[in-house]
Amino acid sequence: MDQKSTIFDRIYQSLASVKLSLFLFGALAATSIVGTLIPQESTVEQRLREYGPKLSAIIELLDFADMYHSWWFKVLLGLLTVNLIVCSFRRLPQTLTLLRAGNQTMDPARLEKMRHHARVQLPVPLAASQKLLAALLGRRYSCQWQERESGWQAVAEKGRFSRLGVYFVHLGVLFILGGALVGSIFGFRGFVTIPEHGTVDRIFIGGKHRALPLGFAIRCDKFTVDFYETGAPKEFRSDVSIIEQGDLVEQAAILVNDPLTFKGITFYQATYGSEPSDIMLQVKDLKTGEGRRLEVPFRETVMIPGTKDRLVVMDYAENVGNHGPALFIAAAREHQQPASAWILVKQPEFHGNRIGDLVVTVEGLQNSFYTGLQVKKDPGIWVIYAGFSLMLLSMLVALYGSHRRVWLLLDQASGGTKISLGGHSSKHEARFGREFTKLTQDIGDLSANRETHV
Amino acid sequence: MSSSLLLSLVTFVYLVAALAYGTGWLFRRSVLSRGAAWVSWLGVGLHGAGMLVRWVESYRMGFGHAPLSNFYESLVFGAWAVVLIYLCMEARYGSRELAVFPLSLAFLTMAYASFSPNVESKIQPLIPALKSNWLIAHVITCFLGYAGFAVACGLGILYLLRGPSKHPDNPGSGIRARIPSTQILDELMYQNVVFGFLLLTVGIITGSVWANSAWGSYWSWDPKETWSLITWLVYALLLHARLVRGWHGRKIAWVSIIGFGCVIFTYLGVNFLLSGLHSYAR
Ligand code: HEM
Repeated sequence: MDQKSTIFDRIYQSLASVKLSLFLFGALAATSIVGTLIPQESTVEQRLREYGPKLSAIIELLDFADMYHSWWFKVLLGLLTVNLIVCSFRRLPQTLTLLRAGNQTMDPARLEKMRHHARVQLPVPLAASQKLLAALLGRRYSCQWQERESGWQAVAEKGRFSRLGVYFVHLGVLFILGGALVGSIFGFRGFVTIPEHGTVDRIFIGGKHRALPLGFAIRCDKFTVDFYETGAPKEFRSDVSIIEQGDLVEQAAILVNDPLTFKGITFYQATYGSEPSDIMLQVKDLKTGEGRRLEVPFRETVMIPGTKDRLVVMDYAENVGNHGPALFIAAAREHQQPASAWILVKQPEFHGNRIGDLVVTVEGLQNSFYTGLQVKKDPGIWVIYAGFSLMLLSMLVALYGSHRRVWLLLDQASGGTKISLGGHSSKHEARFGREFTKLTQDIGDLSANRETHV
Repeated sequence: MSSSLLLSLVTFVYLVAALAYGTGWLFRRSVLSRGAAWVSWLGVGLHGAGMLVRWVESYRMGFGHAPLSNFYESLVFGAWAVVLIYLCMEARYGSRELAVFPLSLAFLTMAYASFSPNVESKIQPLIPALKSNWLIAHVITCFLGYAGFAVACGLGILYLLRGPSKHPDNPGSGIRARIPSTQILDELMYQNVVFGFLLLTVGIITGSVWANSAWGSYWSWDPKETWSLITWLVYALLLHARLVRGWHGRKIAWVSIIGFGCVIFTYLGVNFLLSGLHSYAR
């Protein structure tokens, strides 16, 4: 039983220790370097080519190619979190005690032992000195006065709550880690492309593998791209409409650095491109001599009317074999092997515009833009932003604030009042030293001021 | 006068200041050091004016933006921040013996920015991703932070030069005796690291908010981001080691030098040796 509790004790001790934090800071920094040297999210083949079988096996084993999401990196982050929580809980009671302590009785010997201490003699009677000092100190510190047998005692302090700053810094860190966790559990990242005038109601997550219905539809009304005279891009802009159950509910522009959020889902301008649209084909069967016109959406399979043949425009190229633009079309005719061919757009007479027995002529073709949007839902972002603000504000306090205290003893002395003072600061000793010296001087000047004032 | 001419001129002002500080320190001529301080303030003033003129010029060209958007402009701002932070420290603590490192660094940075054929100094229009106020805040805070770390690194080097750890406060005679006391160095090193840490924290946060509004991801482990986090962790280690474990002096000096190494790698190494999203690489 005893044995057991000491083991738990020891684990608790090391989880609370700053030694562990130093180790974790170092370990996280060092391992993070590895992830910047090995390309992340490469494929197995790439790694085999780049590093050979042995190194690749190690990379595989330790997940170095997706290091920041590997189990052991998460363990390090988890340990840091636990370390932070345990450490704070263990130290908080001491800090709270320090916040309350201030009212201990002081004796001259203890004041003398403080790093900052001084004695001042005022040629003013005790009661008057106390009033003067109370006024002076009251302007700079919050003070507690107490009468003693032989005189007065006071504690003047400032910045007491700066001692709590560091706890809020650490809480901010926890918020950020927590927000990241919330985002990874309840959020998603996806992608969608929408042709101009096109409407989509689902997006793709993880490459093109999983489609996710949005619960509403988004239509791209217009996509524009502007260039500077130098040819560098100036602005990408998608004008979109949000449509819910057939009703237009919102119209907005999505620009780089200016995304659109609807129902917690945010759309970011990511890429763009152009693709053929309004494709009008004339298809003639050489055997029967029958010709038909049909409109074919890009990359969608359609039936040729009146037949059981299917046709799809699979690709578009600006220039095929120096004959200008062409469409790559595949046809699957009843009882026949599927076949495909490049059909030249600008040269309808070309003898090669054939797929098996079908002669294909392009009668109409437009080029229109499509916009590529990054789509994201991250309910953790507000936790993260709260953590950012908390960490920053309290870091100002933790790094630049300090708890400064001055203890004073006032005693009746022949011809006036004897004042002993000692000071202590939780941080920034040098700065406090100057403050203390100034205070001592000002106290010494009190009597002079009084004489001129009266 | 065009901004690039003005800024190349500043390069030589810093050279003069660094030399004057150096000789004033070596030969104990306080007149020289005092002169050097004046020259440095002049340099910082001209340097600031140069950046303002560049800002105005960009508006004249029809695509105005703050001069903080490419590699050249970041070098120029970084050098300015180093000298400014050093001079503020000098004004507060009154010791001129610490100037050689920051002023030489500023000179070298400006010389590289102004005269290296690898650095494009033309004012370019902003590509869409860089049009963001968060970006301006990001660059300013990061580079102020880096500048604090640079000054701390210079102090760390002086600390190590001052002598073996056995007799840190009895450096004997010679040059070592002209280095300020270890206590002062230690204190100033800490002050600069604290400043740098705070500003780097703001820098990483603003960068992350910017990335979130531009790409929808506040953190994507791209090499530049990761290296800034590595840098941040090294200085977090320094602060905790000093405050809680009582590290002082040489140990802190070493960590501060290593930390600045990380800063340099974050800034230059990532651009030139690794690949990533950040578009500062030409
Ligand atoms: C990334 C995470 C962390 C950040 C950003 C952070 C930040 C800070 C800052 C800014 C200070 C004040 C330092 C100074 O005044 O020089 C501090 C102090 C401290 N930190 Fe952390 N910290 C982190 C993690 C941790 C962890 C994991 C522990 C676990 C033990 C820890 C324990 C402490 C302690 C004990 C202090 C001193 C408090 C005092 O007595 O004033 N910190 N921290």
